[in-house]
Amino acid sequence: MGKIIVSKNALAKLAALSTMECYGVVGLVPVSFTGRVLSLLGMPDLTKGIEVKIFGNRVAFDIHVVLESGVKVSEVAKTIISQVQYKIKQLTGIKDIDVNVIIAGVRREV
Amino acid sequence: MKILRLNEINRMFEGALANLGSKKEAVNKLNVFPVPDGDTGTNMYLTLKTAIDEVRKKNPKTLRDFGRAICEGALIGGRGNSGVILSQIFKGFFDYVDGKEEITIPEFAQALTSSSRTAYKAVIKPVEGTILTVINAMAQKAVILSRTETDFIPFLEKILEEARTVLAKTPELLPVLKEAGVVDSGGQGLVFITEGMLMGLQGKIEVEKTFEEVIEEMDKEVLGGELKFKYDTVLLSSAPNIDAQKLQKELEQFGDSIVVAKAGNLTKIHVHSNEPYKVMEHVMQYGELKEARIENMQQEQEEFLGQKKEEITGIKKPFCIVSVSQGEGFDKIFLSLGTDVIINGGQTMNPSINDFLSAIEKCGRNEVVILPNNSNIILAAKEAAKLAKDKKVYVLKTKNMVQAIPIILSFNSKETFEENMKRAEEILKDIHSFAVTYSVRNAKFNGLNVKKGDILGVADGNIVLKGNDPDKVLLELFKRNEDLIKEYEVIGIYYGKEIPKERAEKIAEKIEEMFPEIEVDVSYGGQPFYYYLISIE
Repeated sequence: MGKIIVSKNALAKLAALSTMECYGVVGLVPVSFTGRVLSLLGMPDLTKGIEVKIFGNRVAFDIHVVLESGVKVSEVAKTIISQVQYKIKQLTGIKDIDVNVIIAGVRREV
Repeated sequence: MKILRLNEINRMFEGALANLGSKKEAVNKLNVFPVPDGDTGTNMYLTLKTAIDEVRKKNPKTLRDFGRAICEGALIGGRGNSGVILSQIFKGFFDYVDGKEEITIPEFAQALTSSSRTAYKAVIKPVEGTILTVINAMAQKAVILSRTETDFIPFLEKILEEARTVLAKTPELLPVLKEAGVVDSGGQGLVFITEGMLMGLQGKIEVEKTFEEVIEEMDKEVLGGELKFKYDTVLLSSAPNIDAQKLQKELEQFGDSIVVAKAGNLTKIHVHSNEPYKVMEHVMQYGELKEARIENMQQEQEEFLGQKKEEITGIKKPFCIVSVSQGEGFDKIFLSLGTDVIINGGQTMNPSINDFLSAIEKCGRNEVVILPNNSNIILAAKEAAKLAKDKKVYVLKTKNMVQAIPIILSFNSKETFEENMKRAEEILKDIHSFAVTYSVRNAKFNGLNVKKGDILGVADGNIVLKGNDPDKVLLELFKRNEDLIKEYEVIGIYYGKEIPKERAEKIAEKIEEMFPEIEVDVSYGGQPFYYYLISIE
């Protein structure tokens, strides 16, 4: 048989999509400088809110999110963690997944 | 029902909690995602429970404060994905109604729309086929219905129907539900909440009993039989680390009827025992006491079982009126106005719960209103109302007999019991009453040094002046309250058994001179203790 290789970029995209489906998340925050510039120019690359680190068979995600104000932060974070773990595992078969959620901001009420 | 106020909204939330509580396991079973929301039913229930606990703790007096308590409680207690969404739904609702104390049907529809909008706002990619779809459909339906519906009950019934219909369609929207052959669990939770709200509003649901209600029932039961333990002990402990179940077990060595309940940071403890000091000592091991109350139940029992009653059957009406009366003049007045059962009692002679129960039993109708006519009697009347399970009993908190008269006059047999009671409550708020009586002991009130035998002037329950002559005191009462009285239309003077008719009429003339615009009625009340009772309506 051959090998299945899942790129960091693909993992980041999957994680980003799962995160965006989570209730309470209103945005991902670009981590890198280029990401910030791109988003300022109106071309946000959503995967830039996700950092992926791979150690052998283990994958770790750092997810930088903005939440809606007035939601319980801890519960939303828990949801993101379990949602991302579940989706990645289901779609790629990777079992060892660490998810760290960084609350980069809270959207002000309009 | 055209308008929702604090009371109705509160009943709706209590109903929602009770209904969801009994069905949460059914909701849990619907869960198809192994993650992220393990037990939707439990999570939603605990979120709602924390919200309502917050309300019970703060005991809000306005709808605004109620809304704040719910939102705060739901935010703090939000559990799981569904709990967080639920908290947003409540937030949207109360954000819209903020500042309103009355909610009409169109406003309710708008508030639901605000709920839906707030719920959707907190997610970038809303997944359809979930609780979000259900709240959205409910809001849209509510807006359409609000154009034609005029009563909340059918309005909510139709919204509930819509919610159920949409819930049944969730498998079509979300493949994962279809695969598992279930409907969305969060959506189901919301349907149960709505169902509970409707039941709560219709009074069809047993709301969870409070600590006070539980112990009252226990005490009642004990008082009816032989007393094994003499002292009723209620403690309020502020000790932070009390394990309620453990403490309950430990207290069994001292007595029975043990209830230990947590309320916020406090623990409420109820025990019947013969050694209340030992109970206190035991509880104080855990930390400080905030309050302690010990009652001798033997005395309570004597009051509970004693005293007799009188009955007179009366005129046909859709509901029965039970009134407490003291004085032959008042008895006649009450009977002529259509009171069905009169209970004799009042100052120094309080009727027992049993007196009320047998009066209620004598009523030939299912709906009964009680006029206790004395602040010391209200409690007994309310207890009786609770115990009379097969009849609907309403206690109007009349503090004296003169308040009862305009209320009885206001009853309209063409209207429902509820409508009558509602209007009576309004009237009750707007009746002023004065009394002229005498002091039975030396005392100090509101800066007045009162000696035994002094004549006292009482305005709305407060002793405001003293004198030697009942007539002078009465006139002085009128003088002092001139501005207040001018706002009203009728002054009723009921003179007591010690005052001759001529004397009462004379003083009425003087009062008429003071207030030429106002009608003055003089009647014989025949009451003891009070020379004059005055109503200003």
